[in-house]
Amino acid sequence: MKDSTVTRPQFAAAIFAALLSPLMRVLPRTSVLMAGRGAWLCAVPSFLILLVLTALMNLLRRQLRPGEGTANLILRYFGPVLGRLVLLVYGAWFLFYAGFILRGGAERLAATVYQQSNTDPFLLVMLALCMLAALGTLRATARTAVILRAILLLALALVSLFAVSNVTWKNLVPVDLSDAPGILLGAWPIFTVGGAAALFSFLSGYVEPTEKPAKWVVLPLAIFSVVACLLCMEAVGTFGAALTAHLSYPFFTMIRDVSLFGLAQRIEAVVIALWVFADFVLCTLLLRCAHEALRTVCGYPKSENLPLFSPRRGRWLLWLEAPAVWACGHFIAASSQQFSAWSQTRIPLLMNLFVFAGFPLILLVGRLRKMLI
Amino acid sequence: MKRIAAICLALGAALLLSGCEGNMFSSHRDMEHLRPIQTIGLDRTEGGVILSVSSGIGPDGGAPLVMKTSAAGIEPAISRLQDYSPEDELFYAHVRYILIGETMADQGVMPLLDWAERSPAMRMDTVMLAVKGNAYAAVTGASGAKTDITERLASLEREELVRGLHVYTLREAASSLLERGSALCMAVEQRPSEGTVYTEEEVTDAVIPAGYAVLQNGALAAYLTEEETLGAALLEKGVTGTHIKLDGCVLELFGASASASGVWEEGRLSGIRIDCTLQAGVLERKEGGAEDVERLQSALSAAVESALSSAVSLSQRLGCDYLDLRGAVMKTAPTGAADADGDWETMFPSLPVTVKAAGEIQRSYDLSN
Repeated sequence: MKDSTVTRPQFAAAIFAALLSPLMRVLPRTSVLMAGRGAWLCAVPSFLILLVLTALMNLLRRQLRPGEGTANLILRYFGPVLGRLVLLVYGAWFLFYAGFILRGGAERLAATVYQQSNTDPFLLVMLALCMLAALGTLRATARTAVILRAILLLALALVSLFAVSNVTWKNLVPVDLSDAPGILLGAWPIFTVGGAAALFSFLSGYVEPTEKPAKWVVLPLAIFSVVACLLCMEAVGTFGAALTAHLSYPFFTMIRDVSLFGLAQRIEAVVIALWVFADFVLCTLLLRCAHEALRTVCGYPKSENLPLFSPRRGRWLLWLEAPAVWACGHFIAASSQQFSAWSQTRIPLLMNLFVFAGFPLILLVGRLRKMLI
Repeated sequence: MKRIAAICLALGAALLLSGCEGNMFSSHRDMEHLRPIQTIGLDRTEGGVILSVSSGIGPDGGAPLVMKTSAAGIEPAISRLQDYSPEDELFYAHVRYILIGETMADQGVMPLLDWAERSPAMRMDTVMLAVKGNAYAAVTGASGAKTDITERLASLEREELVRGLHVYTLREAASSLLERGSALCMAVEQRPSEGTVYTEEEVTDAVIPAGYAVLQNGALAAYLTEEETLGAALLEKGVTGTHIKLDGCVLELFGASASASGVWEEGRLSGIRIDCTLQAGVLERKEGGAEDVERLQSALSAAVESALSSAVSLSQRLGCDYLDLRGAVMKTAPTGAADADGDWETMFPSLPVTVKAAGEIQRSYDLSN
């Protein structure tokens, strides 16, 4: 039997690459709306909040038995009936969020490169690719993500480097104490995106155990915060807070003006296309999380080493996920304005509910159960 | 079997991704038929806009493509121009200059800035220039078989940068208009070419710099005079290389900049203070007279103080803070100061302004000394 375990660095790479997709959707615009020119400082409070979440997830991880993920824990803590209900709710959220992410990727391409295009072809192609990856092993997805993360980070670093000449430092300072409430509020979209990483604890059963899990969380978290800070700093520095808040995708608009030593210009289509990789990793992981939740509900065992298209051991559930994800992506909004409304308020609130309310609740129920039994 | 299927799939994908004409990608363009447009002129009419474009001199020295049309909006005008040019595909991804005619500037440039931001073809670092008169006249009048408006504007941009004046882009204009409701942009005017005495080539109109234009709430509020432009430039970015004629001498400013601060009395804003430091060198001097450095220094300081005062005075008269004095003043607000930020609109026009310039002549090339 082939070893299907994912190493910690590979899992961390997959999560990091996945989070770059929603990060680019909400930043810097949402933070700037709340924090103004101080948006670049929002990453600091969000980093602290995410550290607290990390500590909480670490407590949950300690309750896991070898080979278990959060889905098994929910079933143990909540019991067979309520546990299955909770897992169904989480499964539905994973599918809904996957559909939202695919639609978001399609909207991004339609807004920046293929203007006024129909979003359905993008949605269908991406879903087909994500399904292929989800049907394969998680190890293959995670190993791919290691390469994709490097590509995305390199693109970000190069763009940031070449865009720095357009930054007007006057747009970033002064920031004083009166800006603190706005900065704290502006941290909300960042820690909402970062908090999504906790959802992938459903896949913990496929990840090799480690003695020092914090090592694989704190460093990526710090890099994530630096990236968030850099995104806000460059966009606000380039456009000013007021204009940044008006732009749909300030970072991609900024790339339009980037020139590589005067030798190459208009590289934005390439960079925008790279973000399809982040959508791909995120959607694949969400499909796998949904499968874990539904598989546990139905009581199927793990099925990592089956042939790609085999429907055995609950793999048929994955085939049911595809139309559900497509339906969510297609019907979530009739227009890009409606989609923006979802993106700015409803999705972050739902994400907060599932992460910052859901996981502490699971832990609390577990503690109460231990006390009572 | 699996490998064969994988190879077939990969080959199928490669065929789709080839970029050959007629495939699934609507954005495909043939390089040899692309005609990059480098300058756009926009004027407003009652029913829409007049769009004029120039492609610049071709890489083989070929004549520029200069076109003009009117339509209900910018995009319909672009489509119409394309209808008139079936052999070339007009390509707007490398537009360097946008000229705004007076009719367009009078009615407001915000729709233009909106369009530029939304259009995937346009860049926000495109230079925006306000034309005294019609933009289409400048685009068509300055173009001939061997030259075009783009060449003239590129030369003007280089010259202005050498003189130390800032050439504003769409991004800077949009940012300023949204941040403080006003913005500066460079103004140009079309003139019959005076400098050419003899040339074998046809003589086209010149486009020369005409100071700065002030946009207030997106619409043209005023053109700055030469003196006001100097004052505005000193406060905005500082100037280097600008020439000033004083008492028969020609001085060159280098390293000149001004900064504004608030005058605060008991936590209340009671005025604005502008300090300017400048260094200058003597380029030309009066016939026969030895330079009196101290006299020149005080004359220079007085001239710059006057320039700064006139720029600020216009800003107060218009009630339009195009120099971002509010930002500069608020930076110097003491802790616990009264909320001058909220009352700025009403306070600003009547705030007393003190200007202090300290000029220093650092170099003189007087052969008689």
